[in-house]
Amino acid sequence: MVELAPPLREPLGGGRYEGARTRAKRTAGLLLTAMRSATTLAGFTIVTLLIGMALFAPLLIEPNTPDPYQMPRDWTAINEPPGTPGHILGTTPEGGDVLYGMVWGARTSLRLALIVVSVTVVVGVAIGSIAGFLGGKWDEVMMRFVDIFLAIPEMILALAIAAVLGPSFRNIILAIALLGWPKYARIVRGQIIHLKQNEYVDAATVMGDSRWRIYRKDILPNALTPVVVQATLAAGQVVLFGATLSFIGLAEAGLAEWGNLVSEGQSGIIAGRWWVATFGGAMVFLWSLGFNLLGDGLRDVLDPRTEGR
Amino acid sequence: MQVREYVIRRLLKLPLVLIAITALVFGLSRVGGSPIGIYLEHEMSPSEMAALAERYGLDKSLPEQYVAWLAGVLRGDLGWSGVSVAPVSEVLPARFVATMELAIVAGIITIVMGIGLGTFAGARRNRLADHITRVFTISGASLPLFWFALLMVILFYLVIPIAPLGRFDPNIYSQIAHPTGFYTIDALLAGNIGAFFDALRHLALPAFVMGIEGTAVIARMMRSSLVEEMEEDYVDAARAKGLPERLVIKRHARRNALVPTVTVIGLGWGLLLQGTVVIETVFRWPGMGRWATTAVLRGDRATIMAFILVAGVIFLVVNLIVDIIYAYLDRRVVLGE
Repeated sequence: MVELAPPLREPLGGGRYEGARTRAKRTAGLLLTAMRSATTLAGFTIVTLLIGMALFAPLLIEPNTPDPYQMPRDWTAINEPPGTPGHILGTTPEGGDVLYGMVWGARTSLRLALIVVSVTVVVGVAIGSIAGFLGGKWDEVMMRFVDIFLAIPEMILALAIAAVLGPSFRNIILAIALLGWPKYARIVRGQIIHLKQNEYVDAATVMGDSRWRIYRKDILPNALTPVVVQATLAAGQVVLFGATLSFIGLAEAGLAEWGNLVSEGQSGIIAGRWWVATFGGAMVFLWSLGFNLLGDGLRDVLDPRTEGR
Repeated sequence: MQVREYVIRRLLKLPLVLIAITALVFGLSRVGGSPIGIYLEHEMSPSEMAALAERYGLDKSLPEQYVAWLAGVLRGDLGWSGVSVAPVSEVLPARFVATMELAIVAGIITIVMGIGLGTFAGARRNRLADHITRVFTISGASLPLFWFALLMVILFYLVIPIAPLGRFDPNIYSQIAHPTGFYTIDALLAGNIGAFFDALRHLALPAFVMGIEGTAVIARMMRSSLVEEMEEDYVDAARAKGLPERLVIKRHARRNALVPTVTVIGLGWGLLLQGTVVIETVFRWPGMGRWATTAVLRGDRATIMAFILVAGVIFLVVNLIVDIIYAYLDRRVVLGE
């Protein structure tokens, strides 16, 4: 008698999370490749340092009471240049400590970036997924909706919101979030339409997977790659725009925020008081640069179509 | 023929979108409650308040108010500007022209510099010049406009005092007539070279600063599309013919690389317009942007609404023009509609 192989007890694959584990390993590999580029590594370092500064702000500098996001004002030391004892980087025309503004400003920026990016990504991916997956009428209607939002210039909407709801940092967050989601919707929809054509989707359908399961396991993980790139870049752009709006005056006075610092320092420039505006703006530049470099590096690695750059 | 249809379709959509913008502006102006508030006085009886409401047509339904408002706008009545203490329609033209002059000069600088820089980098792909340009374009995209503007002010106004603030020198400005409102054009029309140079001196720094962001965006696009074009076969054919490299680029590759760049020019223009708000604040330029910002901070609704209306329309028209130009350059856009 021919000896038959013993029957397989276990499925051929590695278990329940095999797909996820492979994906995780591959992603880590890609990220390490991304770090080989000097500029990407620089971006990553800058971002890490800034986020660290934001997270550890209360440990680095004593938080102000009652509102830590307001710069502590020392009315005995207004317009002091850098090097003054107690105010290493100088003070604003209201006696606000510039160093405090810089460190806690990072925290403000992190808050802004986190809230806006997470909300816009969730909303954008949801809408884009529905449009891409359902197709047909739904797709058309939703994309028209997206197009309308894309057509509105950001600055104008921000001014309009500030005009109606009043100037405050909260409203700045609102305005930026309102306009930020369409690009993710577009990206995800395009990716889904593209991925739907793949054979493994047909295979899954034949196997009897429900549409939701196909979406979750086959389509979404692959569609998210450009979203990650865009979100990283957005973290920088959002803070840049927020700082611009604060600079024009749409945030509360005395807020520990970089754009606001520049605004307070602006009037002193003619008189030669350069430090408030310069340090405040430098931080915005650094944050934006870090995320741009990191995002660009991620894009080069995760999105091979743009390799020709 | 298809292109013409596309253009006509786009043009037909225009009134719809314009109405949408006006409706949006009107809606916003009513969000914070009826504007009757500014006319009320403390000891008014309800019947007096009602009479006041009736006088300004504020007791009618919202759609009726909208139509009345729109009719007023088309007649030129845009309300009263609290910031300028004058009717909006009196102040708006001068402000608008000031902003446009700045934006147009900045736009020219952006296009010329952006295309030039992009071509320069693309032709020298991966050599030092390309890397330096890449650093520049990324920095340009990360640079806070307001910060860069202030640094330029520090540099060229404090450290090396050669740049003036504001739009003109009052002594020179008052010497000529201002038929168009554009300082440069009026100076040329009057034959006053001193005034013309005064205009340019004041325009130089703000226009350059305003153009930086757009330049970076256009340069980046131009570089990558030129790099793609250089891979095409016809470039090898041109080289085989014996054409010097410079002419290969100038006469053949660049022309085709310009096509995708045109789309970005529309985007760059959008950035420019939004930049006016910041630039005018920093350089004390008497334009629409600064006017609107002051209005927002002081709650002057009429001014804000006028700004949104004008800016929205300009934005729309420019995008339309860019899309039409692009349709003529690349038929595929038309087919995709």
